[in-house]
Amino acid sequence: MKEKAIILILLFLAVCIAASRARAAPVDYAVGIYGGFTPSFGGDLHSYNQEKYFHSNSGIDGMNRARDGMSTSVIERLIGATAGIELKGIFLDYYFVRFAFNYTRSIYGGSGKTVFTPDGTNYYRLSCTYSLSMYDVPFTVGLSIPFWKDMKVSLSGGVAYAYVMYENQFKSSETTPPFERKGVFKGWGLPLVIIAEGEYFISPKLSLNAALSYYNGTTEVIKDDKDTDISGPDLNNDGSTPDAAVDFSRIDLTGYRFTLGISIYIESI
Amino acid sequence: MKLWRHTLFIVSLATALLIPALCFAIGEFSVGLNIGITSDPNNLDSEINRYNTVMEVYKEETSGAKISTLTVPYSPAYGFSFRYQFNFFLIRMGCHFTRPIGTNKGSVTPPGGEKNTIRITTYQNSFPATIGLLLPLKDRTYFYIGVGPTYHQTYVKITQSKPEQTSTLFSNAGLSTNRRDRYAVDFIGYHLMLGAEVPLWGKFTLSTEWIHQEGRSYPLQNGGVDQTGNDVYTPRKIINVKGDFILFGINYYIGI
Repeated sequence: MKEKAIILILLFLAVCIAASRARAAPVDYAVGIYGGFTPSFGGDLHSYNQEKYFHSNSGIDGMNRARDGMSTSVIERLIGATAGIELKGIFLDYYFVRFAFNYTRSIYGGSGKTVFTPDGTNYYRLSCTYSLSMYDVPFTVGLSIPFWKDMKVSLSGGVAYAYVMYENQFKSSETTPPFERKGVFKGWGLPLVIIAEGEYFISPKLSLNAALSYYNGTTEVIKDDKDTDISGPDLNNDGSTPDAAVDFSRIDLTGYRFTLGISIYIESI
Repeated sequence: MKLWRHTLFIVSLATALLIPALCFAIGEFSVGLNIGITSDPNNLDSEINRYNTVMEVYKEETSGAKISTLTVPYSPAYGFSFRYQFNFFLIRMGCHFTRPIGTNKGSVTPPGGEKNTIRITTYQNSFPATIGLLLPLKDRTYFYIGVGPTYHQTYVKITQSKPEQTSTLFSNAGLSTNRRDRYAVDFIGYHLMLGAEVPLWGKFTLSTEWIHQEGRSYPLQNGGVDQTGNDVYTPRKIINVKGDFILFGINYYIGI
């Protein structure tokens, strides 16, 4: 965490220097809203119990299995919908600072049926459900270039504070007795953020924008805080019947976001 | 295979340098110093996560066990670049080096046992050669996009101070129980680049560049030692350099 603190301080100093140089210079601000989507939200959503009980060491990817005579369905990685508000500042024509607040949640994928075997002989169907939601506050600095009379392109990088909540559920009514495993993981991370954005001004102060954002980071390993698991059979075939299973997972914040939005500037382009 | 890769790299560089000459173009040269940041160089995230999960589960299930987890590091990047640009074309040769700040370490102490400290050391040195298109907006104000090969030098070392304390724990989870695992290799990948550049003063400009790189080594032989100090050659490891850099640079234009 020490190096993350150093990086945040350096970024803060960079902004202060830019702001001090810009004190007597033209400054323009904009506020905007936007929405978009993020494919493969949360990555493979691996957790310890998926490996211990269901033999998947790659989360969703490894949970997808099929067996002749058993009806299953594909469990797809999550696609998230994202929405946010942003505040942008442009100093000395080119120097760009952006601060935003985003909410992202899974809207597609993450549910289906697979098969598993606790003992290598008997196979059972397993219903799987995954969901993920995230709040994040990215802060980036970079360059914004106006060109022609009605466009701007900006490129910026920085860090975000991200708070995430990941839930999974695995249940089967075919085992004796039936069981249900739930996991809820809440935690935070400081992912690296890089944003490329293009804007087209439909009026002197109003722009439409499209952006590609890249996040890279993870949370630390988080302990499942859900204790409502329903015990079932000896799932990992170790001779003991598990009680409520404690699970662990780190949440992967790495991925891309594609957004479209609208911004209102104080000054005309 | 290595010879083929080196040949490809040299041919790419030669092509990049020859294109302007073939075009009889007169453009501008610039040199730049860059500083930036990346996250998780050499993609050790999954391995770190595995160590951390195993240690967390061990602590949960073993009364009296103590642990300290590893972190996925941020890593500053430093580098330089040489650029040649004419009309709408850009040729860029660069180098950026990244190594996480400080020591990335974690530990696990069995009840009544000795602490086993795990340390991860890694660095990556990349030489991207880029051919791109440039949008000249006004005097030394550009937006550019490019692609090209990257020559990577990579290094990963994982050490354990008392691996015998956690042999069963780590081997059951498929993790190494060696005192030291070390991998080093150079190979060629590729990259995509987006950049923006604005005038600063005189012949100096300020640039921001986003470099996305891809590349994987072949499975590498371990150059480590086991718990008794003997050389070991396993487990093998693939180094993956897939990742993104944001670089901020100051450039100086050289008149020709």
